Amino acid sequence: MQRSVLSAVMVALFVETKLSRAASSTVTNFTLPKWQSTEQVSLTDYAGQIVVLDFFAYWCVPCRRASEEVETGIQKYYAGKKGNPHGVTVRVLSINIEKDNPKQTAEFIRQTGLSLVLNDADAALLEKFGAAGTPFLVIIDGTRAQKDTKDTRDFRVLYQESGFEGTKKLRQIIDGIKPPKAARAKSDDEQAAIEHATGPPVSHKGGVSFDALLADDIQITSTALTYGQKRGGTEWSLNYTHKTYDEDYEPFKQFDFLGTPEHLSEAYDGGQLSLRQSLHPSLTLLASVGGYEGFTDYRSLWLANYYKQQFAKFFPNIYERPDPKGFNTSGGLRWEYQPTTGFLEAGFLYAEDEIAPGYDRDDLGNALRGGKYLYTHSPYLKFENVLTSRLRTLHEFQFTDTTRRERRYAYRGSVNVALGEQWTGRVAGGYTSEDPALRAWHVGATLEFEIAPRWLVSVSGLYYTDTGEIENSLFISTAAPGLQTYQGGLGLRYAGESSSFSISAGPTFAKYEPVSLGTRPFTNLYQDRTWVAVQAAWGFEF
Amino acid sequence: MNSITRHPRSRLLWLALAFTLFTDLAPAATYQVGNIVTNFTLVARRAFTRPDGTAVPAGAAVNLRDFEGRIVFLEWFAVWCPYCVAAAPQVKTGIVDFYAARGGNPYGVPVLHIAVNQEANASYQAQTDSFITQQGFSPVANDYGPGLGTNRVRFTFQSSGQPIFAVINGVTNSPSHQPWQLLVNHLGYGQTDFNATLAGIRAVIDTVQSPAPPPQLTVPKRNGTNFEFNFTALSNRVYRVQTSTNLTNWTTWRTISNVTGSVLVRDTNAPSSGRMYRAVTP
Repeated sequence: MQRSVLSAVMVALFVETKLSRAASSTVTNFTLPKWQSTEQVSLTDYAGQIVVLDFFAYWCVPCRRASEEVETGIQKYYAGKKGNPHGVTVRVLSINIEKDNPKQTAEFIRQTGLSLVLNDADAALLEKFGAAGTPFLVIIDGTRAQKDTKDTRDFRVLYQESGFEGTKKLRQIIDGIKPPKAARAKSDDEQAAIEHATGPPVSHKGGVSFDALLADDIQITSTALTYGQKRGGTEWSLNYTHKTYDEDYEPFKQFDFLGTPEHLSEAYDGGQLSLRQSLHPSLTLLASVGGYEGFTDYRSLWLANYYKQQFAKFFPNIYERPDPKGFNTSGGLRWEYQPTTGFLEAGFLYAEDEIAPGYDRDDLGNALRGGKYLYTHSPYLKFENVLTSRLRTLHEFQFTDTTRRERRYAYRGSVNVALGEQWTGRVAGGYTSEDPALRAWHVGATLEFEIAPRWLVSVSGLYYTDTGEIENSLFISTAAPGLQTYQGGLGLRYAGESSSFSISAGPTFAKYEPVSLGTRPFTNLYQDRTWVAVQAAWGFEF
Repeated sequence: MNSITRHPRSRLLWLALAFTLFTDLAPAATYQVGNIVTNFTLVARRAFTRPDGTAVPAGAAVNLRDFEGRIVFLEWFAVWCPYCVAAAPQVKTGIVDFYAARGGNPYGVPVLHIAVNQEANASYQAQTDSFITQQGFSPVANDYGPGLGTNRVRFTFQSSGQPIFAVINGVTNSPSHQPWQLLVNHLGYGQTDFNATLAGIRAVIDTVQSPAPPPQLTVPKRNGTNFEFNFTALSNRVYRVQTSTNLTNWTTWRTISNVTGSVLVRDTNAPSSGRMYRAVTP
């Protein structure tokens, strides 16, 4: 459980990352009316300037922040400086795509303080750019275009992106645009050669997160550090995770005469390197490799200690000190089959794990050591769809085949819905099936509310249940009985321009079904618990 | 129609026969309930006093035949076995203390519990000793020792597994059971409530009858054509009263279900002389 919580935080840190499109296309001229006016505005009106297009709709929650920041951080910023560092004028054109409810659009314009709004009421221009989602931002270099040009191929698109990456990113590009005179007689080829030599700009991402899961007898913490770089179409990140387990091991005396109470303290260290390489504007290669040393969960540590107490002293030749470790590697392809709205990802994961072995006894009472190597093959398939500007879905299918375990089929899905100007809802669910009898499913919901610009509070709930693991044929079965958990949480998130952080906390109530006879020695492991989960994460870009 | 119904039935019969053959042949020969258990030897792990008053020092031989007149309840255990650990206190309550409080089974036959340690490995002995002390096992024996091999006795009851519970009738002249007959041969703690298992074992123990003392016919009286005498015997037993004229040929005259232990028997049609009476158990 704590594993998925951690990965969710890490995913949250990187979920904003999207690849910029190769940015050397041109745009043909367009003409749009001004908001609530008959006056027409054409792109060619801004020949010789830098044009930033900001597509918005009043109901689009992230547009509010984007439009506001673009107006102050780009339009007013460059107006105050009389252009970019090379003296090129910068003009922001805010473009409304919603024809209904003009009153609300007017209110949006008033609140965000937009100075020049055009109307693209049927979103035709937005579609021309191949985007269906807002906010959508475009930077057009018009420095080569002449005032009365008929040849609009001189308007070059340097940047176009769904989602708002912050004014810092936009300024980086705007500041790099030089007028042709400053570049003197340099041809386009020479310009390209210069860009090639210096390379596209590098951006850095870092993150720190901390998780704790605390119960009366078991405490788990997890600290993760992340650093990543993005340069052009290449992006990589490195993650290091350190976990600690503290457990008050308590033998179930009624079924265990040899066991003694013990305090267990163990650590886990893991690292993961992930790579994303853009192969084509709509195709990205994903690769990842990682390794770890230490117990992966509190349960395996508890079970290993049971075996230690039962076998270490009595069978020194058969018992082995556990040394769990493993590595994994995965590869995949992400295909953007519909620009910015439809993604298909397919991949394959391979992992080798050395686990703490289990022990058994033969008919004569002699000890036997179980296997300790697991080999996992796991293909997966993901679909992500932006169905409308307000509705996004994600579906994931995974098949897992691990040696000495039954095959496992899992589905996970989630739906994100923008409920209003400040409300976002997320519903997620999943189902797992393992032959012959394990079934597990979960459903959860999160509601997020923007209490102030960039500040969001959320409330979430999750219900999970399974039918219990399949009992193995061992003398003592370690199989967990059926489990139900109820989880609740309150969170606070700050989404800043170049840094973000979140904190959340909440209880989890875990209720086990009664242990079966074969599992009775683990009664104290599989007892009902109340956990408190605390999470904090901080991510930044520079 | 006959041929249709007969065919599957005969096949079923063959299957049943094959199954019986295999199940009978497959396992090593272990005692089945009803078998007569031959004498065996365990080793006293701690000193104890036999029912006849003989002191048995630790390390001495403990023979099944030492416990004549008792119902012998054997419990094989290993200290590492979770189900043995769980079963022991329940056996103490449900068998040892239960029969001690009642002075034996309903027929007054004492029940003797012997805990038998099956784990010979030296590294387990300290833990085994503390377990024995905790449980208050006495007598307690080992199923191993010089010249005895390891777990040889245990494997005559069950070919593998633990705990094992075996109950043997040591009443040599019981009217209900043969001497050294195996009454219970139970393996494991079971998936169901173990106290229910013990209740089932008690039900079997409770059927072992003590040897019946001879009934006594006393205070004979003649009263006209009536002949009376007092009949005294164990209660709750069935007796037949027989008559004879020559002490050689006996015919059953009446059957008495003696509830109270003593009744007045009256022959209202007794001849003036030459009729002899006796009582026998069925």
